[in-house]
Amino acid sequence: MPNNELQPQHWVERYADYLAAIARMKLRDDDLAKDLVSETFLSALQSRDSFRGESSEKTWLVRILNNKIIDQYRKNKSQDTTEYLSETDKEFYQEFFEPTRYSDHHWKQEVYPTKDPSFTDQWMEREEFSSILEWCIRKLPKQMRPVFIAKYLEENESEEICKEYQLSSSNYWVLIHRARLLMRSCLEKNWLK
Amino acid sequence: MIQTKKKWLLTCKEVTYFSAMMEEGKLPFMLRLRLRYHLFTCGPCKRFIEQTKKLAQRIHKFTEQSFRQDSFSSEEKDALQEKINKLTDQ
Repeated sequence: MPNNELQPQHWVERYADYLAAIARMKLRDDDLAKDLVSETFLSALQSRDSFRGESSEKTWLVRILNNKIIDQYRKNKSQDTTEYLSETDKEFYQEFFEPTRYSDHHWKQEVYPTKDPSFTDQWMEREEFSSILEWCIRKLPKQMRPVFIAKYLEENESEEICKEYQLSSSNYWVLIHRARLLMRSCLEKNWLK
Repeated sequence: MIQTKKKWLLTCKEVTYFSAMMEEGKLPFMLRLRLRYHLFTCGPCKRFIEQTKKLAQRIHKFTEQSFRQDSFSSEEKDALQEKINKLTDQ
């Protein structure tokens, strides 16, 4: 039991910045991020009886925070995702693909993924990669950001993410497609410059 | 939206779209075959897939130690902890 006991007297010192970093990255709104962290601690206190000690205190708090972020995402879906995706469809893909003799949607030469092996070579070793990565994630459109983070940072199952964020499977895969195109090209631009 | 045409050859847009599903093992056999056929001749798509795969692996390592920025001022932290303590005592 001692390992998995809640210790609210240490929560702020131990987890506030970590939780805020998660929220900030997903929401791109620092004040809202802080508010959600405070709310997380308060809801956690209210439901402390439901803490069974099956996961760590930290994991439990992260889960409460994530539920709050998901609620925000659903509430803020000012525009239906389907509508957003179809309205921006042409414009978005024109940045990457163009009709050529090969096909209607061939890579545009100016955005060909680089042949330079040093693009991926030193991601592990060099520390500045993390800050570029975070910057690129924060630049993703708000419809994509939390979904991208849920899949790639938190490694949740795609089915789970669709359910939580109330996305159809086809909208989900289009969001992921776009996020992958944007992330790879943002990293390349900023890493090799 | 992305729809595959009846024709055998996939476009780069389609290949980059399907590549994420392929990584999760969610692509039907025939599509997998068509994707591989495309990659056989398309350098940019091949590089896109290799690079995004490495990106996924790298992101996996991007965790706690990357979050070093402080969001809360120490006053804010003290106030918040005090609120928590009060509620805990109740």
